[in-house]
Amino acid sequence: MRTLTRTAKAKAGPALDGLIGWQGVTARIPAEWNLGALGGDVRSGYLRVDDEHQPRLEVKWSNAGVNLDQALTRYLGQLTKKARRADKVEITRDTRLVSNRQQPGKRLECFSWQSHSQQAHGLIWRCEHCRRTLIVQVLGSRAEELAPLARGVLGSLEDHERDGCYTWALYGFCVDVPKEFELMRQKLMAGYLDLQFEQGRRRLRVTRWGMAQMALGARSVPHWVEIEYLRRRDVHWRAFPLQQEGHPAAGLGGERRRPFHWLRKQAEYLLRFRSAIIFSGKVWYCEPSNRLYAVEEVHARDRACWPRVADSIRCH
Amino acid sequence: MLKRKRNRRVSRDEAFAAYPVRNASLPYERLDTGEVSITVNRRRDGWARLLALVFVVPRARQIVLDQVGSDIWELCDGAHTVRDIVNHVIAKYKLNRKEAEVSLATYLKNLGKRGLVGFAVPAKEGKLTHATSEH
Repeated sequence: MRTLTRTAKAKAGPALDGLIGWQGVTARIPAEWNLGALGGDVRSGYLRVDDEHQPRLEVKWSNAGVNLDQALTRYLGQLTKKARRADKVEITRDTRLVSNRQQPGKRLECFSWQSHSQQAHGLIWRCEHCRRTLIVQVLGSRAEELAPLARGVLGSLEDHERDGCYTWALYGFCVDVPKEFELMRQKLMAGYLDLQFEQGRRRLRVTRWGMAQMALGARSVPHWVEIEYLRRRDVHWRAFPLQQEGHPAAGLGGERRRPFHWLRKQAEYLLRFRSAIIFSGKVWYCEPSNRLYAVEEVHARDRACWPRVADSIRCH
Repeated sequence: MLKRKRNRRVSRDEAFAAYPVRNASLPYERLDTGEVSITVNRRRDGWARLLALVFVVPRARQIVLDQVGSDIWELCDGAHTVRDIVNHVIAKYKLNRKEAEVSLATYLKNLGKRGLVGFAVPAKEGKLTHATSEH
């Protein structure tokens, strides 16, 4: 019985408690792995996840139509060329680490390589649903039992939306944003994450602040918002107290700031016309995680998606 | 002879195993607000005196650290490693490990540059040696 349990555990590999998600590419990873580098956009880009010592997961994606076999040959050729001076790289293709049954709707080929000090298990695929080509590899030291871990990570890999949303997950933060929104700017700092999306004239912004207790001090959330948002010049806003699932929160309301705003407002008042583009959102303080979250949107009247986005955030 | 002595470069693991030590010549006090105020005295050599005559330079200046900075300052006692302080910050402020490591490394680097802390790095024989390290 004990032997069976042990075998099952060894097959299942280490716990994949963390989640990484960027530009529609998501994967389950060990909790101690974190985002190390990123670049590009939804059409083509790069993502690297590191543990405490070294890079552990590399993902490259592109929506250009490529021949998988040629692309993999080119990639492995580059790898061998780079490593030639240092040490010899042994490459194995068609390793069947992940099966087509695990990843339906994809043409895929698995590979692995090992050098003097490192090894990697990876795959290249072309997704028929989102028409993206992905090349992914899980890296580790030569002495490590990497295959079960790589099987778990690569098996959990996804590259397109779920329920019309892309999952954005990094540093323990996870949010689902409708697919049509494109990431325009991001600030990834220690204790502060800010993702800004756009879709036409709609703008969606998701922010997380760390060490919230210190930031708030003795202030209430609406009071803190009033101070924090003083610098905002893109919108006219007001904050009001709100309750969100037992968390102290502040609602945001207002309008997008436009050129000649005051004159336009007067004209709208005289014509009894209501501005079609409005600003709304909410900010809440999650005490168990000691973080502040904000989701806000500039949107057309009756077309707000921020409540759905805010609901997708698991704050603790 | 003209060759400058280079600081020993330390690896990431060595940096996290280093013991930050406060500069003992700098007096500091805990304020009622819980923040630490460090007093940095003006240099007393000839050049400093001459420059102080020309430009108005006060005899001492105060550096007030914020709450997190003050907590870290208290832990820079030579008994806690950088890794211990990272774990303390994670537990107390509920930060992600990467966030805590990056912010603490930057902060300690700044303190080190200003001469407020030094770093004792365990040598291979197990002795502590002082190094000005970059994380």
